Parts: sequence; C-alpha cells; structure tokens
Amino acid sequence: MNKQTKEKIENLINSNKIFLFMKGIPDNVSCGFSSRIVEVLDKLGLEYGYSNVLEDEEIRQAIKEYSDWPTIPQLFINGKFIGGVDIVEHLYFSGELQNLIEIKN
Amino acid sequence: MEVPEQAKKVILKSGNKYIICSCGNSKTLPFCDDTHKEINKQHGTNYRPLKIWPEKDITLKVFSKAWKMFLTCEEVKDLIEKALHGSKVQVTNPRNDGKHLQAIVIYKGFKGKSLLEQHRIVYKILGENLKERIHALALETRLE
Repeated sequence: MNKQTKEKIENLINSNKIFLFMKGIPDNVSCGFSSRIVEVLDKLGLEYGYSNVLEDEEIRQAIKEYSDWPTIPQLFINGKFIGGVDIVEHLYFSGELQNLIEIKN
Repeated sequence: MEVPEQAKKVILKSGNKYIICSCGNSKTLPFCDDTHKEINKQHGTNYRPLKIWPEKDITLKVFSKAWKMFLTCEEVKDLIEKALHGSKVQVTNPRNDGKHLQAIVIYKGFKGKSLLEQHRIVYKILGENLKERIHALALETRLE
C-alpha cells in the first residue's frame, strides 16, 4: 500500500467517530454482511461515516491490508479497527459496543 | 455481451501451450492440474482438458459452469482442523447455496486471545481461499 492510499484511509477513519467500510450505501446495501452492521448501527441510532468499497477498488484492496483483515465490512471506532460483522454483532449483543462508544464520547 | 462474474482473465502468449480445466476440480483454475485423472479413476468419467496453442499473444476471459469455484463445508472444516490441532470445527451451509458458509471453531488454543485475534487466526488459515473460493463466511470462535 502506498503512502497516499494509507493517508486516504486514515483521513476516512478519522473523519468520523464511527466509520464503516461497506458494500453499497446504508440506504442501499449490496451485501448481507454489510447490511447487518448497518442494522446494528441504526438500532443504536448512531451517526457514522461510510465508504462504499464497490466504488473504490483501491480502497477495497488496501483496507484489507491496512487492518490485516481479509473481508468487508469493517467497522472503525475512534480510528481503531473493531472487526467485521460477527464481532460487531457479538459486541452489540453483549453491550460492549455500546460501552465502547459511550466511554469515549 | 455479458461476461459471467466468475470468468477468469488469462494472458496467453504465442509459442506456449495452455491446458484449461474441464472437469471443474482443478486447484489452479482455469488451468488443469491433472486432478481430472483422479476424478476419472474414481467416478469412471472421461474428462479431458482443453489444450490451446495461441498463434499470437492474446488476453481473454474463460469460464465453465463445471468449475468448482467454491470450497465445500468439508474442505473448510478440514483446512481449519488440520491447522489448529485439537480443534472442533463445524461448518454448515444454512442457505444451501454452497456460497454462504457458517463456521463454528472451538479451540482451546484461543485462550487469552481477543475475539479479533481469534478470528484473525482462522482467516489466516483460510488465506487466499477467502478471495475467490469462499464467497461468504460467518464465523464464531469459542474456547469450548
């Protein structure tokens, strides 16, 4: 990954407290896994930034390398990689996700 | 003209010979890796690969519906169990589409590792397979 792409990713994840790399956009999600993360974030009434990787092949590949995680969606909170849908749902059902967001508010 | 999403792009150079898989079981799709010989022996079939001698350099996309693009539940289970000694792995295909798999990995070696790390371990084992040979995998990891 070149420096420019890395900066682009860092700008994105720091542009919003909660940032989601996903397939599609929140109102028109193109993948079941992305849709489940959107659902969790919406249930919590959270505002978040997002990037549609289907429209940016460079980000689509680079984000996997950046977070050392081979799949999309990927959720970031406070610039830190949290996980994909399985982990986000796990954290949501255990209440840890809610804590994670509130504590650092 | 619409080219199927799974079609593979290949660059063929003149002067070389290329052998394309027709049985669908090659590990090096679209190219043949001689797996058909084993398949023919086991199932009494008569698969023969397609041989190509390009007369000039050419780029093209190829696809066959016979190609077994996705790993089966058993293959995913074997990969993980072999890599994580003593683990118990259950892989299912709830939608029965061969594409959306669900895996539960129970492994004592996960002890002391965060959920993120546990998932990373499994992803590392599956490696390149996650790019093309596993469409979607829901993952659950546990100590016991």
